Amino acid sequence: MRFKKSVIALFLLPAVLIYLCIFLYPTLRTFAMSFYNIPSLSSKFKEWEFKGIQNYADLIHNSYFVKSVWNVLGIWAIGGALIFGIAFLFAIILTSGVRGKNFWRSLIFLPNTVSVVVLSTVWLQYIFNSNYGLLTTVFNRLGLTALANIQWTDNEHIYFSMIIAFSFGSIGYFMLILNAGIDRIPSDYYEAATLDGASVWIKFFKITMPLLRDVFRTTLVLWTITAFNFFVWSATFGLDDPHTVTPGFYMYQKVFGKGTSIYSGEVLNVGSGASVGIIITVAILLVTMLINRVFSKDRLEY
Amino acid sequence: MNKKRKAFGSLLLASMLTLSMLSGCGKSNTAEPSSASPSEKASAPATESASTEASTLSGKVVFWSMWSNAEPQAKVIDEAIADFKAANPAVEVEIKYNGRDINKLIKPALESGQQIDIFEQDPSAALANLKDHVLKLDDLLAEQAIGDDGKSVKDSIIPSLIEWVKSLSGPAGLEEGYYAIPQQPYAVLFFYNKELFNKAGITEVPTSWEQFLAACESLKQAGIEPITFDDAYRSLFSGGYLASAMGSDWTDSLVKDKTGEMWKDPIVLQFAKDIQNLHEKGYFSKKIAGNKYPAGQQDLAIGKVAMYLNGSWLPNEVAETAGPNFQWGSFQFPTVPNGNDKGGQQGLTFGAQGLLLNKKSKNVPAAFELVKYLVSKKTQAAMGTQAVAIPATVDTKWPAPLEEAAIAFNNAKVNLPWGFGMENAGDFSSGTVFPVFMELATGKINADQYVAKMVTEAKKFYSGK
Repeated sequence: MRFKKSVIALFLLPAVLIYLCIFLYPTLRTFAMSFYNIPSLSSKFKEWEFKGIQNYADLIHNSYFVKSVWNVLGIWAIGGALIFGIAFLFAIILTSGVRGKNFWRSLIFLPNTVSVVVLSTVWLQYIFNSNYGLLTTVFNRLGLTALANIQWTDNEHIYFSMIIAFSFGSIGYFMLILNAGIDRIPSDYYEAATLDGASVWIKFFKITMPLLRDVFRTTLVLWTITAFNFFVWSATFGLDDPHTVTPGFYMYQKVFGKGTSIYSGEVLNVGSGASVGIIITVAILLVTMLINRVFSKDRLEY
Repeated sequence: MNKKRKAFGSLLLASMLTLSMLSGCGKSNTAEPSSASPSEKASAPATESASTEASTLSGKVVFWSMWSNAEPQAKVIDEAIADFKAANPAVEVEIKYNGRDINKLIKPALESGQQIDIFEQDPSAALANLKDHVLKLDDLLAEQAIGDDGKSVKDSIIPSLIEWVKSLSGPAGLEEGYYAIPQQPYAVLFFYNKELFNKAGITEVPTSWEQFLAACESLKQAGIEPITFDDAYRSLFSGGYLASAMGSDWTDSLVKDKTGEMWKDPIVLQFAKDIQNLHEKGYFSKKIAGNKYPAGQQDLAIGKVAMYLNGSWLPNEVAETAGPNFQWGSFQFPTVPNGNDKGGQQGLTFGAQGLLLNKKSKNVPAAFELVKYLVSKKTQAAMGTQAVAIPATVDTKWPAPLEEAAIAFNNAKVNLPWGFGMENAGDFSSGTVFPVFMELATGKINADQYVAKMVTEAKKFYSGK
């Protein structure tokens, strides 16, 4: 059945309108806001003061913000390697016909069902705590006092502690997606390979990896978005510690103020927060483009 | 299918169990990770002896509180409102317990014209952010206080507090006057465990740096860790020393110095050497490097460490862990030699939460009447007994754990900002001042390296600004 173009347009109209309202408008408005000095989130337009690219220039010169950018790139790279390494491993084990597959899958996914704030507090106060935390207790029991005495949340360790804790909570999610992708690959290929005497590794690199390319690209994009918007863990682990701050958390501080008082040298500037938001958006778009270029789009049909 | 449902069921059950367990243990520890700010304790009061003549007030009053309804302060406020309603039956009161989220909600709410007649916030934050919305209270403060025989509302409040509120109007760019009614005062002091001090044979609280070091030594000899703090309160220790020497105007200009030259002042080197000394002698708890709020204050509450520099809300905050028999003591940051006479014990970081009225309120008389009930002697006394908060009214009994804090309050002539001025530089403070201080306090760098690093970092941060 063929529809007239006008009919198609009519049916698409509501969706397009909603999209424009809830996505495009805020983005454009944020973009506009990033060029102004705005005293508060609810300031009227006439209170906005045009500053041009000053907000961006200030950010580049702010060593605290620059540190936050490096932090988030590290989280993206280190956390990404950690999460995808382990998620792949779990996904392959789970699809290899292991017993109790559903149970293990649920177990690995379980941390994702817990609120992030709860999860981060559990790690901070019950796992990394240097008095009664899990790590301290376990290492002490094992007689590894050197390891038990590590202050997991001090300046040197907190960044990696945060990445480990965060990755723990994220592996299940990416494992599920990869798992579903591997499940879709017809088992004939593996059977044929097995008959030809291929090892597990050969099967993984010659069958699973190539056929999973599309799924992997998608999860990588999802991961980039998650990592670049890294926020809650940064807030709970570091307060405003430069070792854990990320652009997302910095943006929050800029927009809502961090303990602004009449003594404070810094004035609230929502425009500056908006420019951080724009930088994050542009960074995600750039990295997504790069990912799409690296994993070319010609689909493998199976 | 059946198998899948079972798996889903067990997953759901397991996650629910986990959640309920987590929420159970989370209770004492998860509360406000960001309680770094002074807006920690405050509250409101209730009332007594209502006016005998029939009330002519009517209409509706909306009060946004900074407490959440689970906090003891909320109960006291409810009692005050009940007393108010009994005396003013024609007035309808709507109370909203926002918790500390009020700091984010209040401005948009006021700007959108929502009916809020009274709101509660730290006045120094409120006047910085909301100066276009606050009502000047000078005339209203002359009204007679409730239950305080003949005193005006203004005279019923501790003088240093009400004068402090007035002093905020100038820097905020408002016409001089009173824009907030202080209540639930706090002060930043060393809180210590008297039992451990006695065990170490310390009979008097230290007032000078030498006495402080001597006390630390006695504690260490007795096998007690002397000092601890949490990441949320790092600013207090470094700021405390420098402001005790030079006053907080000096620390304010130190962290805002664009050239970095001020860090070369001999007092900074002296400070760095003293901190290095505290570290080397083992007076700092070994855990300070990794202490995440509230790990350090829990160490104090369970008797592992003897001292903790914090706001006077501390005894209430750790009451559950410390138990009713914990013997609280407090003293001011000791005086430091070679200062400029602007510091010492005349300065104290103190403040209060404040009750503020909306300039656009259509029912100011009834709203202020309710405020009078909130700062009445009865309500303030109830805050003392039920929430271990300092009462804002004069001649009201202070809660026992805070009795010694009264000494510092009476000494105080100059009000110092939160963090003794060291937090005033925003990103430079959080990004550089405190992390580098931690490197010094944990022995990663020595005093000379500290000075050199601060000079370079300050230059670097402020270049291009």
